[in-house]
Amino acid sequence: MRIVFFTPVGAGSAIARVSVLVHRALVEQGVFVDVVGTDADVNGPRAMGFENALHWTDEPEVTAALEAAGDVVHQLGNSYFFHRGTIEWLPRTGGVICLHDFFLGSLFWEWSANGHEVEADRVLAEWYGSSLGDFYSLAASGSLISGTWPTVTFVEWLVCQADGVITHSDNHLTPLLEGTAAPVDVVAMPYDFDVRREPRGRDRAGRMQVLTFGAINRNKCAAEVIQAIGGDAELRNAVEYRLAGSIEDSERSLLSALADSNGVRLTILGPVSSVELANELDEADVVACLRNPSIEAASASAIEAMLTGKAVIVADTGFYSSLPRDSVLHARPEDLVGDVRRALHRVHDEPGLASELGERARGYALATFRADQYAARVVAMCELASRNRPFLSAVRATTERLGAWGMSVNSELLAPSRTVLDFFAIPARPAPPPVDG
Amino acid sequence: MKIALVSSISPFVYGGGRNIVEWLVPHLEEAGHQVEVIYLPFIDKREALFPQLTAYRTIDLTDQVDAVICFRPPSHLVRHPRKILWFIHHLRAFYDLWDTEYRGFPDDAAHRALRDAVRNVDNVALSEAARVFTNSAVVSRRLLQYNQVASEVLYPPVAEPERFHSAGSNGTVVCVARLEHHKRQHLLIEAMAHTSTEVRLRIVGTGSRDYVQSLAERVSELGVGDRVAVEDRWISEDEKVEVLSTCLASAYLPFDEDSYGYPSIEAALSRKATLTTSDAGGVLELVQDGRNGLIAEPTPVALAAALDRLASDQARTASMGEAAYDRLAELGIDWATVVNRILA
Amino acid sequence: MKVMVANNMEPFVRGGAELLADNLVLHLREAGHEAELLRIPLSYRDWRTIPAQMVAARNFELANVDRLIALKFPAYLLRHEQKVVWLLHQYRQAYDLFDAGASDVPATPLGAEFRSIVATADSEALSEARAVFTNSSVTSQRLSRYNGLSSTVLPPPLNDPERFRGGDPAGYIFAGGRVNEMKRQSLLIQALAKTPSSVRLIIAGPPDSASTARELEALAVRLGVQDRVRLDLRFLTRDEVAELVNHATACAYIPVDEDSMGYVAMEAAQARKPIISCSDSGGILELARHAQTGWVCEPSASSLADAMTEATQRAPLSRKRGVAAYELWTSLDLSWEHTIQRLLA
Repeated sequence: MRIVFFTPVGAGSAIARVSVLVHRALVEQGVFVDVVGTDADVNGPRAMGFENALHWTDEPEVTAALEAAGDVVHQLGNSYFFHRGTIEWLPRTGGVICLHDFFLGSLFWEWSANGHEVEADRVLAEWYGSSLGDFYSLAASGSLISGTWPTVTFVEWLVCQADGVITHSDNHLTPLLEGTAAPVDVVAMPYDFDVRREPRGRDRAGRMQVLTFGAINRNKCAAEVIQAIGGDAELRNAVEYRLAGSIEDSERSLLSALADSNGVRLTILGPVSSVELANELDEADVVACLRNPSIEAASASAIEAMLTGKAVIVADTGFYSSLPRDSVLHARPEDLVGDVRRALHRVHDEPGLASELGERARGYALATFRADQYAARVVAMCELASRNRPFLSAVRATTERLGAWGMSVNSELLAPSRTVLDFFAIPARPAPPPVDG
Repeated sequence: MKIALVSSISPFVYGGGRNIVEWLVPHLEEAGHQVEVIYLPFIDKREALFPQLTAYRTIDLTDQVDAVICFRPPSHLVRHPRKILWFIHHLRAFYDLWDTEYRGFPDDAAHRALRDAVRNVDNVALSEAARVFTNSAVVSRRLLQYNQVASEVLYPPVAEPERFHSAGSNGTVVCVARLEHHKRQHLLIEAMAHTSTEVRLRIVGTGSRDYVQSLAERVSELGVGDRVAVEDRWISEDEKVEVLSTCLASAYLPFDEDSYGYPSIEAALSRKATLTTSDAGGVLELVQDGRNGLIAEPTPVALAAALDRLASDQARTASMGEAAYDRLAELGIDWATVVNRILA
Repeated sequence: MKVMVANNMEPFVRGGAELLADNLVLHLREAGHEAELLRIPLSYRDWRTIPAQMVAARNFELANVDRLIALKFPAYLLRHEQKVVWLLHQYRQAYDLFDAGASDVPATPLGAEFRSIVATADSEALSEARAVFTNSSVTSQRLSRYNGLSSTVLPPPLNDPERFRGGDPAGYIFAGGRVNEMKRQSLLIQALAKTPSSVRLIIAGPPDSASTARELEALAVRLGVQDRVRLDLRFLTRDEVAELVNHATACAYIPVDEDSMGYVAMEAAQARKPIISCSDSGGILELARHAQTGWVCEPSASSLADAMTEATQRAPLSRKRGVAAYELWTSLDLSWEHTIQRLLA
């Protein structure tokens, strides 16, 4: 089997780090993989392992790789900066999409604003009966996610081009299943642990380091953590809250001011290198990995934190709800501040709790988020997608033809065509048994 | 009953694929049924395959007729609760020709996907059928091997079989068939260079210009023009009946054909033995060596020996011809059998 | 040329379009071409299944065909580089029949979506054609009004003009063609009741239903004209029809808003018989011109009665108008030879 693997390769992308592991596992299973970086920026620093990957702008090389390969896989998340190459190539390649986020509104917005307004307008009309004007107003108002999710997900316009979809939790499958006739598989997101990195014991008596990492935006709930710490005198004294990752100036000012007014010790690091991030994780006692709402299929950050053997606090929603209660601390979305405060207080008060939680979390993550199992499921989905391709081309051709005649994508009039086309769908073979080891 | 006969056709190409449909009509009508023939266009072109398959699948004859009989693929995709298949061949590139030079496209992932999709589609369509018949044991074997479907062989008769008769023998072996390389009239000509009796050979039919020319050249090169006639022309039904009625025997040796071919039946109806080869395929379901015909190795020398045998013992040849006629009854190759079985 | 004629079909349904298609193929062969008829099973029973069938029509492949002549929706959606449409029927339920409130398609948003799909597909498919002909000016007008497309009227010729030689009138008015409400044979019977006893009427043709036949018979009895009207309600052979036309005094054909010129009117004109028709009969009026080639009446019993009386009682007038009908008809030069030339140009 030979796969062309479209993925972010930049050092700042969590998905890139996931892809490095998936790539390694595929190669170990005997698959020949050509990696194509989908980052908008061709020159940025690359994740370790992808230094020699192609870039999506290398048209002749990518074309040659596609001609030689039988299968294509796209890693897709909610960022134009990281996934531009996938949008550019997907119409030509089709293939299997590994969907990391159930909401692709930001991706859609940035794509639209980068010279694709006409197509974006058409997508909005076809899928949501809306228009670009309405969308831009909503986006500009700052309430893009709250104004659309979970009703409107912006997933359909891309997955309808896929021959197969892998996603990492079953929490928001409905729009996905409605957006594509391709087979959909739910597989635990892969992660591996760097064996050199053993968890170190914490001995900073009385002091606690809380870390949040990734692109620091509203969705990461840093403000709620600050308020949680600020509302408890002991926590105010004991906790240093550190933020590692890119941050907009407005968000930086907002959080700094909030920390000041709450008497919270806050350090905003800005973007960090992989090495710096590794050190931050090492030094942290607790990782606050909150998302509200939870739009990802699974969280690379949470898994990374769990694999480092840290106490992790998550919002009790979406993917995070599936993490075991005895290994990870959950905060209810309706009282994030309160629950985070209580969780941090517990960790502060009970000396061995952090390492106990961390140990259990690490064990769970090692058993669940395995790259070798993920790679096997990717291979199986590629096979299923390949067998379904004639059927899916027929589906696409029919919906395009009817669409060209003016039929809306959700029209009842599509039903007789669906009946005809369903006859041609290939039944899925059972998933392969888990890989040993 | 109201019955629709559905088959795929190539525009303006007539012959076997249509004969089996059209010859059935009067016999069904005679049995009291109303018959409608539905021909749908089809071209065996890879890129256009799935769209055509979906077009066929769109056709739903439920509640419009009582039964549907489907012949050439992909007519077996149409929808009806009582679907009877007289399955005459697969889309062979995706089946028995896949591992041969005749596949016609590369063995890569995309084409394997297409192959698997076609087989999947056939499997489902076959399972929908109320009955599955084929026109030969060869096709039945393939259905079993590739689609795991059991089928009944229902041999197709010719139109108005009572036209054919025997009127003695003029010592000439005839081959009335399309003049094409895989029908191998050239082998017969080669054989005539090795015969030792007075046996004569008469080849009649239309065909590709190149092949016909090569036949004429071979006759000339071998100097057998005094005993071999090659007539590149269309022959009327009446004339064919006459030619067969007076011949010594018929020769029909196509390379590995699925079914026995109309020339074999026409000869048998005319009470004439058929000379064929061991690699002719479906013809061997009809012809049994020494009983109702001769089966030779596909070489000029072996064929020459067989030709000589036919000529030197004419009484034996004539009685083999009678046995050929009886063989048809043995195999139930008649319209009454077809009508009975197909709607059973 | 290898010419494929494409029509829809429903098993065991045979009407005027099927007869036309057969004759087109026949005459194409007579003109020396290879011709084949493609009859695709396309069902209008449930309008919601039509879009899927439209896609199917688009997906069929026609190899080894030099020219495609398509006659109806959705057969004219078939793809071919050399496609000529001889439009007998669009899907009227999406157009004028919908406007008249006589359509299966509902006045709902879904129905509107459907009608828009049909209109878009029609425009696309018909614009692809080398040429678009129609069977009548009515069809052309509808195509223009609803799809903004222009077309050339090419009326179907008579299939067997040689049968309609004409002959001495035997004193009856002949009303041929299909028998149903739209053709209004009942109105002719009502008109007959207002004519003097010398006027006689023969109605001969296949009734759409047994009840239609019974109603007409009952009507004749009720009006007391059963001795002056002969009802021969069945499929007649062409020879039988020709016999009746050739010895008629005049031919009456009064359908409501007919699409085309009407075979009944064409046969009459070919046989030099004047035509009695109504002002609302649609395409018939191309041949039936009042006081010229026959009589065009108000669609009322009394108006028709006047015409039937005059036609019966004034034989020279009838003959003159019959000759004029013939001349008008032949001036149209509607022969199969000419038609095929136009279609294959």
